[in-house]
Amino acid sequence: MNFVDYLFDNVKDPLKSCIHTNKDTLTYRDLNSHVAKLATYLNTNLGFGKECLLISENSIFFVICYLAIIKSGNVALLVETRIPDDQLTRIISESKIQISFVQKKLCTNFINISNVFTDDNLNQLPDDGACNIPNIVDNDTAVVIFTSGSTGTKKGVMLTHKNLCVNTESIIQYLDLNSEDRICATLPFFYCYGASLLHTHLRVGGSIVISDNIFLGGVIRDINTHSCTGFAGVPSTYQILINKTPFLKEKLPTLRYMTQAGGQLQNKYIQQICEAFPEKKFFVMYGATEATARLSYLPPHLVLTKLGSIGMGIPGVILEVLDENGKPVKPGETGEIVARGDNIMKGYYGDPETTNSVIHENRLFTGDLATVDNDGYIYIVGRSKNIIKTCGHRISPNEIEEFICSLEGIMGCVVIGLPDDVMGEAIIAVVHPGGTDELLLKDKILAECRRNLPTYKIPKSIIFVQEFPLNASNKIDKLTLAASIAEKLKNEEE
Amino acid sequence: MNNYDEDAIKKIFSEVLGLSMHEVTDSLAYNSCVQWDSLKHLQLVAMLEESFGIEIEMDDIIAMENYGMVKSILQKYLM
Repeated sequence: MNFVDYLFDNVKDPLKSCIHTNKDTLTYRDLNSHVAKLATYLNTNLGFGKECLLISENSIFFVICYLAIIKSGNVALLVETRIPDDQLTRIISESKIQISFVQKKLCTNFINISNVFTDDNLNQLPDDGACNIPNIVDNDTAVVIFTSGSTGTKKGVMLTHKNLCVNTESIIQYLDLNSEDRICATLPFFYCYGASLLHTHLRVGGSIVISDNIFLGGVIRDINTHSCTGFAGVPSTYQILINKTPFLKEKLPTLRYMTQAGGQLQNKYIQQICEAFPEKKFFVMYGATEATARLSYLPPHLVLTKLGSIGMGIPGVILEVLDENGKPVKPGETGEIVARGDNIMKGYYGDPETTNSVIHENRLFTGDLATVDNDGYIYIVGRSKNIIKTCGHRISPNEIEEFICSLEGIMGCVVIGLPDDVMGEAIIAVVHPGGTDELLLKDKILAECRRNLPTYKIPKSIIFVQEFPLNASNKIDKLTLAASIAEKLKNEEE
Repeated sequence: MNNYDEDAIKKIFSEVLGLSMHEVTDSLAYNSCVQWDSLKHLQLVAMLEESFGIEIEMDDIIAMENYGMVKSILQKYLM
């Protein structure tokens, strides 16, 4: 079944509002008619099975284009709005993009893209109703989400119509969503967690508030103004709210539940949230773009007794922690999280080799290391992939290391992530300065990073060392290094 | 440093947003400046708080939508 037909299958009241922004409100009937119009336009001018790039922040433009591309049987290629030029150029050269949907306010950032369709074009579409949408099969690709890999280059995760349908169904089931639910969405829709908010609420006939504030604290007002029942965040979302706003003192009377995924939120914050909002459900969850979005959740009544656990597989997903021989680990032992289910991606775009390295016999090897307790609840202990998660972004240390090493006067550089009260993890660059003056070098590194890297990749601190700890195979031992740097920073604070 | 110092504020904006000092004018606004996103806003607030030794209240952080507003809000904390 076409994923968009599945989403709109249940609409009981077409005049009900489905998308709210600070300026506009869109009903299901409006949304449906905009999507049908654009889908018809795409079928007439492109046919189907073609690739369409979409670059947009959360907006009505994003929602209409995204759904129309999928409905027309074409493939939506999603990238982050802050994608660096070189990475976008590579994606464009390696794909067969026929048309690019770019939000008008972002057009000046992407002047090199050809055949651009913006908000203005959307308002000028012809009104001919003859819609000839092709039949799609479940295994057809609907979306390619480009996400950061551990080497720093983007990998495209291909998700099928079926992947999207089954994961949406599972999430609705365990969150117990219905048409009364209204989510306050701050996470970007081009990111799998953000997209899942859009999918689930459309499917149940609920509504989505696009909360787009200069400062995250604005969500408190948005939740109250729009009477939201749900809120979703990554670790940095909750850390910013707790540390920089009066969030924990708020009542938020309409809010029924909150969800958290996208990395590990420190236990102390989970406890603070549960203490501040004892009547609300707090869902700790775990997932991967490669699994459409969601893989596990911890039932909210266990959030304090199983503190720090990511729970168990969601309905329809078998989630196991396997040792090196492929056997489930015993309680207390560490292994890799492996998932089976119809939500596992079709593969990486144009990269069968990497696909085969993470999917064997229909099982996704996540690269996340975990243990289980006596009741089978899973606890993440580390990542075997070399990735830093900061402010909801996945960052490859390699990219920043290479950049800093390319600067004059640097002998070596290792980039690590350390727990941070606001960012989730903070980027720390550990630099071997050679003979250069450390103070001068520090200013220079930071200035060059600010000039050349996106904000979220700029190291929070630069720390100088005269040598790096090595492991048995003479590689830099990042774990030991991270521990000693964390110790050093702690001592400096005291 | 606890005194209102416009040059210091301007320097922080120019550094964080990657603009030259003369591009930082009162009309520079979150809505129209492509470099000024919510993550940069958080960074601006953190740097202003750190260099002036103040803590800016949430409603003020939300109200700091253009450079002119930032200046008048900071005067409240630094006068």
